[in-house]
Amino acid sequence: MTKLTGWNSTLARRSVLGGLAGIGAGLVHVGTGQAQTGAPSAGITEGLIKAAKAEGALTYYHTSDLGLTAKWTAAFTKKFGIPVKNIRGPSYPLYDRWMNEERVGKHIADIVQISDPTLFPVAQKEGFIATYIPAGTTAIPDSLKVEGVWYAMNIDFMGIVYNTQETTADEVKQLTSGGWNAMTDPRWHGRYATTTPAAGGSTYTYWYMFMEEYKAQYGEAFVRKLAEHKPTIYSSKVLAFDRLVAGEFAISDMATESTMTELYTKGAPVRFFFPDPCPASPLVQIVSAHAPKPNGARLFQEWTLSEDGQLEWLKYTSVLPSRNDVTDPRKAARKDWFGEPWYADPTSLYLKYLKDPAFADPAKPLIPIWNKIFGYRSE
Amino acid sequence: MSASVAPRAGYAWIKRFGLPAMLGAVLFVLVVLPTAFMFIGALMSAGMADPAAHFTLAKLQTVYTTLPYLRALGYTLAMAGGVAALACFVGIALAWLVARTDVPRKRLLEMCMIAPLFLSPFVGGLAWLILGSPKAGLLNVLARDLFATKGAAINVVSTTGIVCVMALYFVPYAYLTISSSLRNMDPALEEASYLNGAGVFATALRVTLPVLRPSLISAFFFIFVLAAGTFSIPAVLGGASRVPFLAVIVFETTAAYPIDYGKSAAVGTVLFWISVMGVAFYRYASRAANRFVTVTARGFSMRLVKLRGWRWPAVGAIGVYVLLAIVLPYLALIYTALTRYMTSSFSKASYSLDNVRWAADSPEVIESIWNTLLVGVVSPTLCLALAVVLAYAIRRMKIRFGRTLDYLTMFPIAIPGIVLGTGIFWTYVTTPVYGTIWILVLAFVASYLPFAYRIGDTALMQIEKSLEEASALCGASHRGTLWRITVPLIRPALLSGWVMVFIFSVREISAAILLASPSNEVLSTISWNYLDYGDQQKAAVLGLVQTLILISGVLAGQFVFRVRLTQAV
Repeated sequence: MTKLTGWNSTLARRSVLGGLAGIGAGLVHVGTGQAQTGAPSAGITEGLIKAAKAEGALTYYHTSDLGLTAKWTAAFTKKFGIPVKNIRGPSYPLYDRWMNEERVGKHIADIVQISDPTLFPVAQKEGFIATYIPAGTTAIPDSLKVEGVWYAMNIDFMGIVYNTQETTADEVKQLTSGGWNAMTDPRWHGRYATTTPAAGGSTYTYWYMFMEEYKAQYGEAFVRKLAEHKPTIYSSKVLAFDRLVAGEFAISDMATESTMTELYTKGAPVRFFFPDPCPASPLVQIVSAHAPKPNGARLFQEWTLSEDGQLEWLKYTSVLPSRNDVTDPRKAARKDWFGEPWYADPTSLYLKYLKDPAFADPAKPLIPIWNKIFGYRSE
Repeated sequence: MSASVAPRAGYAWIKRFGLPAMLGAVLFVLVVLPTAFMFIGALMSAGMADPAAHFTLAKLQTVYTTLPYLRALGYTLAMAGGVAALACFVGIALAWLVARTDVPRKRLLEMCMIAPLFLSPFVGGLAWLILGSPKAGLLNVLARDLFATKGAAINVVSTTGIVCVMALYFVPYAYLTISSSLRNMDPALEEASYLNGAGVFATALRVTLPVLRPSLISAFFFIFVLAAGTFSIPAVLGGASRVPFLAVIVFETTAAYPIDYGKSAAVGTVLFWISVMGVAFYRYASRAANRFVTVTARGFSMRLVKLRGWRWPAVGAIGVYVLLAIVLPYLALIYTALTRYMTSSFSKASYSLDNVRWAADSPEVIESIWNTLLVGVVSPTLCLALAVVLAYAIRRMKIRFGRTLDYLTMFPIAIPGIVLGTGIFWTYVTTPVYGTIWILVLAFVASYLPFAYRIGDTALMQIEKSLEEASALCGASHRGTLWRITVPLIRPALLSGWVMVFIFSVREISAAILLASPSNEVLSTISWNYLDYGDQQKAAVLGLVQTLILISGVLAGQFVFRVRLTQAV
């Protein structure tokens, strides 16, 4: 049963907003950036478009899929006549590279998009993030923004994926009915691939959920059972999905809905589902304080968070838009995977970490522990 | 009188101070500064731009004394040694077949032998990942379907697999070094062995091999150094199988969280010392090779070993090498480029031209092709120009500090591309060069200067000095003599060197991966990005485009400039 319809969904509001209720007000912005006050901008005005056009091509540092981002930014170019140069990298190295460039005064990026907003406070402290409140801010829940600093464009869910040609009906039944613990079954020994938490914001989130947030329910014991499978470990989760589709593995985790639906559309032999609790990873975006094209950067941020920009994104991939008034048209029409009997939306999203100070610890202490458990790059 | 004295005094000043200072400054910027920055980086707690960064020995201490890094060092030494040994073993067998036997179609075979040089090792690694993954690799699936084999027939994501794939792409270096020595060897030694009743294999083992030993050792260490610094193949194949390899750690510590530039530089220094030792052995062996290999002034006709019934099996053995190094990888890439997603079943694959259309329409790809062509043309041109000036100034003009300049010029051979990339990043990050295509040109000129210099220097040594002296006697300046006499005489060698540096520049990824920016993406870096993002189809298309550019360059060299590439390395 499909229950999630944008942010109007009762379930979504409960799972996301309610999930934040346990965090004290004083902690809300710790580790995620200091919210700014002020009125939202006037939005996309003729003046802004004209000024942005006069500046020329934008440079967009992003962590989202290369191909679909190119299509999406091409729509921006078509609409406003401003070319966009897309530079893709995994969140952490991309952020680090941008910080290095800003620190030495090489201002290249106009807009930066990553999947871990807890990295932004350092950049904000050093004055690298422009204070800008776009007009679309009112449609974005508080949990998905730090006002004037960063804004989530959308949220991607992470679940389990299996190759239909490498699994039996019995195995699928066991897997899909057993929640996350189903992955610990010995039958997946040598048939499971996973990704290091060091790969990026979303992969760190995934492991953090088990090892910290739901320590009592899962914790290291659960992670150790997964490690006993002797999984093949990838430095990027999409590499694991690629090999899974090729038939190298039967199951993998951190199956992001955007990538899974793309593979489904291509006809790849994959099925995916989202056990409870479902880790979710936002794509968050800032305007660089020293953007070489400041007006273009603001126009892009406005468009990204507008209904038009979010619907454009949904033409190429399936994610939950950050605006509460935007819904994937395919979902409404029950098209593609939304119409498949095996597909179900996640029922409880894990997003609390976005404003969790422990998660924001730049040392990411969980990584060496995970490395040790899996015998991966142990130091 | 003053009119004739002034230019002489000016010339003397240029020779004494001007030229050495200018060349020294160029080498300082290209070689010394990036190396210094690498060592300084290893002493920093964080990236040099980080306001919290301070000097510390912690990174060096961790890398030089703790088990994970010592283990990685052991793996790197063993793997580089394995690659060098395997490549030399295959190289010597192939060189002997082509140079010493009556195997047919020699010219074609020789081209086949060096053909892997024209292919990017990164692209080769990607192709072998598609072919030889343990379960879904195309060859393993084929073996299961045809021969009902159980388990993996081959496994390229293991340590042995990585060594074998790397060796495939280093065989040409061994082949060229050894075949050159074989050709220069006086056949009288072998004739004497035959006259004393020894057979073909006894002669090869007891006479040919000992004479070749120094050049074999020099080839071994040359390949050892290159293999230890190779990042692309171990990264593509070994990433998931946890094979610790130092060059990959240099990259990973700047690409995965927590990002640690200090540790990356510290690991780079370990690689640096490995290379320094390897190069020292290589140079020692090269000198020994020159001493031992018999090059005589008198003409000789080579007695070829008659293979008789073994002629075609020998061609078959060479064919297996060509199949593994070129044919299969490219078939795998073409297959992958034509599919919508990766599948090991040819019949169930979803075929499409979408990826080809994407490459043709994508502004990103078109721009990267132009950038690749730009660095492919500018880097070898600057590299060769600098190499000729250096070689001429050091060898002919005998300028002051010639030995120091000679040493500095050859120095980058001991700096793996990924390490040089780190140094160049920190050297130029605050300059206008950073983020432009010119930083790649700088990196490539620095990386390949030793190759160009060696070619230029060897060519100069072969030119009779009296020709230049005649020019000088007729009143020509050093510059005029260089331009009108020397350069035309060494033109064939320079063109060969140009084509070789073109090939290296087009396929280079190790340094480029750390220096890529919005304005300087080249085919190798965007191909890496797509592979890193799990899109093997697009990475394969880009690898094929890169190969087309390389083949065009090689064909232009062969047929337009009459370059003999087998003489260039």
